[in-house]
Amino acid sequence: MRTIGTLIIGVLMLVVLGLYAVTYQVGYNEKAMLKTFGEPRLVGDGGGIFGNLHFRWPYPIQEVIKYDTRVRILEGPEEQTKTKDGQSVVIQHYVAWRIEDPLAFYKTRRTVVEAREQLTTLMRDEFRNIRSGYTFDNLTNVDPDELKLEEIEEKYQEALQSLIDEDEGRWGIKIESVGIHRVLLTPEATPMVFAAMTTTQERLAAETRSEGESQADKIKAEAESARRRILSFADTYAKQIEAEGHRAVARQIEVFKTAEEFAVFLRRIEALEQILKERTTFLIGTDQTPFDQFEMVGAKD
Amino acid sequence: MAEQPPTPEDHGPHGGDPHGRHHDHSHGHPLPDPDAPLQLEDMDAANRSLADALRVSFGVLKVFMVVVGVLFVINGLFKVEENEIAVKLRFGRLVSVGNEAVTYAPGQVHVAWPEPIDRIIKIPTLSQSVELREEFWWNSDEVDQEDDLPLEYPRDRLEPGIHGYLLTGDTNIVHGRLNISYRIEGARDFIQNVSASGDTNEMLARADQFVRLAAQQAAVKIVGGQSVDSFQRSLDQKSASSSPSGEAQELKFKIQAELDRLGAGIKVESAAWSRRIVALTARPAFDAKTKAESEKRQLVEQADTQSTTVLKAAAGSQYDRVIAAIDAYEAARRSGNEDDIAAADDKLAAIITGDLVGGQVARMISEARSNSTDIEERLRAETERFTSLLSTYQETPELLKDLLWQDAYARILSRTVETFHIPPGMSPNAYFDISADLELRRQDEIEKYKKRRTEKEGSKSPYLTR
Repeated sequence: MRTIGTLIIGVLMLVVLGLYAVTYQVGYNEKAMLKTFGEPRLVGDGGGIFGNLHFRWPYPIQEVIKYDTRVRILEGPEEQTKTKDGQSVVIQHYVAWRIEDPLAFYKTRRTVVEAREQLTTLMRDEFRNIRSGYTFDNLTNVDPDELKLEEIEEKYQEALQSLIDEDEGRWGIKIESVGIHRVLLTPEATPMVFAAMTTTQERLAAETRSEGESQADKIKAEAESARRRILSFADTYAKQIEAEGHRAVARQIEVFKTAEEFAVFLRRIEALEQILKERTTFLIGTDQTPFDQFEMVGAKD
Repeated sequence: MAEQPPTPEDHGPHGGDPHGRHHDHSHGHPLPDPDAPLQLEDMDAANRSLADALRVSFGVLKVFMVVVGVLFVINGLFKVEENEIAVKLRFGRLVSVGNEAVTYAPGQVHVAWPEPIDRIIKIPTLSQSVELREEFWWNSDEVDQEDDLPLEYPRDRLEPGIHGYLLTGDTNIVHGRLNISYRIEGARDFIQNVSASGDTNEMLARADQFVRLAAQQAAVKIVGGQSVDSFQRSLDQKSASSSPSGEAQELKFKIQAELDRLGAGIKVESAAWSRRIVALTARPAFDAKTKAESEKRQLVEQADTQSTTVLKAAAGSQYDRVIAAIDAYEAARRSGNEDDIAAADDKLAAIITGDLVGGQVARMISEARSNSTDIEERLRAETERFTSLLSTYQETPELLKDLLWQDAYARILSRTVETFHIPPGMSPNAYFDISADLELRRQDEIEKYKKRRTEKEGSKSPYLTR
């Protein structure tokens, strides 16, 4: 019994070791090739037992080559170049790529290191071609229609992918994205930009002060204008209100017409009372009514 | 089987025989005959020894197998810590439901087959932060503590590769430091496109690299499309959170867009400038402009204040309603539509003569109302007086007039007036001096008096005024 148990364990161990020798897994983030006597063949996704577990003959009959298909980032150098309008700029960009076709990749590039080296050369040449078609204003501009960074990236990505695909012997890689992450001036240009910045700001400061005074004057003038308009309309409506009182005069005249002379007399003495209310000096002859009464009484006496 | 005599090597390092017994050749015992056959008892002892050794070896092997078996099982248990999620690869294939990877929640123990059947990849989900500290900044070792700015600035020239900076859309050189916080959310995309190493540090390093590049790209595009004024707007260079929210959103959006393009499974939570500053060489000029802007704002604010004061004095705090109504009225006038004009006029009149207005307008309207009321009241009183006296007048007009005049005359002279009586014949009528200002009147009279004296030297004026 003991012997049987030992035998089973031994057989199991042999089976496990055997399976290790004749199977392989292709990871979720991998693509694989199977070389049979040196002739490579692509291993498709799935298709194995339990998905990505595959059988193979032991080495040297068959050999498995696996590539990690994650996105790889390749940063180009900060490279000085001239734009279409002759401006010198320093641009740095990156390329995000992945191995898409491991068979083609294996046949043409073999290793990731080799691919990186060749891609770096290709990037430099092709990016120079693309950006030489654009002016400096296309790299930095406050006008969104003139700013072409995204367009440059798109064209560059297309051109790079096209070159890689059309190259003698496809590379088997896919350019996922490209990005311009540095746009700089040449060292010689920076002092001039510093000077221009200073001059511009000084000019803007003077303009700003002038604008401030102008705006302030305008605000005050508008306020004065508005004030006059308001008072003008207020005066109009005030006169309309006063006119209501004047219309009462017309009604009164109808009453006074019954004795015009008396009405005028009443208004005159009332006017006199109003006019001669105070601080008035009278020089009156003693023979005037009613002071003549003194003389009349005196004469009688 | 022919027995071989024992050799010295068989005796081992201590010269013992294969049975483990020790022979002392110097004790005088007779030496065995090397050609004599091996005895049966010697054979049994050897077999027993071999059997014992095999039994012990198998025992050790069995224990080893059990230990291996236990380890195999234990190795399949895994726990997911807080702030991480786990996904499982079975024979290399991601265990998923539909397109979504099956994730294992933190805080629990889960079971999996040991590798190489299953492979567990734990992914950190804690919010991570990346700072672009040097990418757009200039290098300097010494930093002013108060200003937190490097003491030395390459005022002559900036060297690519040494001094980081950004170019604005109007070709100004600016510097900045950018903070980005992100979180790994898409486990499936992350392990496929960024890293499936299972090593937290390596995975985060790869994630940082993706975020850094995407952030640099976004910063170059955004700053390259804006003016230096926009870059500086709402900016206090000592403030830690100085990004205008719109710009922060744009930064976040662009970084996220690039990460999505790369299928990184990373979600950007925030992106904001922690420092922004223009090239220090030109900074005095920028400061001067900032001061000019401040002065401009001050001037405009003062003008606004004065304007408000003037308009409030004219029409009270609701002056803007009055102006709006006037604008509407004038627009109606321009349109020429009579109905519109009438409606606008009514509205304007209602506002100007209403209770909302104040200031000079209110006083004008109030005065007008008062005048109107006074006129009406006075006319009413006059009318009543006229009406009440009319019948008497019609009967004895002269008598009534004389009486009324005498009454009025008496009332006038009984007030605070000065009265001088002159002899008969000197002046047929009264002389009235009704200047409102006594001082003016006095001066005027003095001048007149002097003039008269000059004309009629030595003669006295018939008028004496005080």
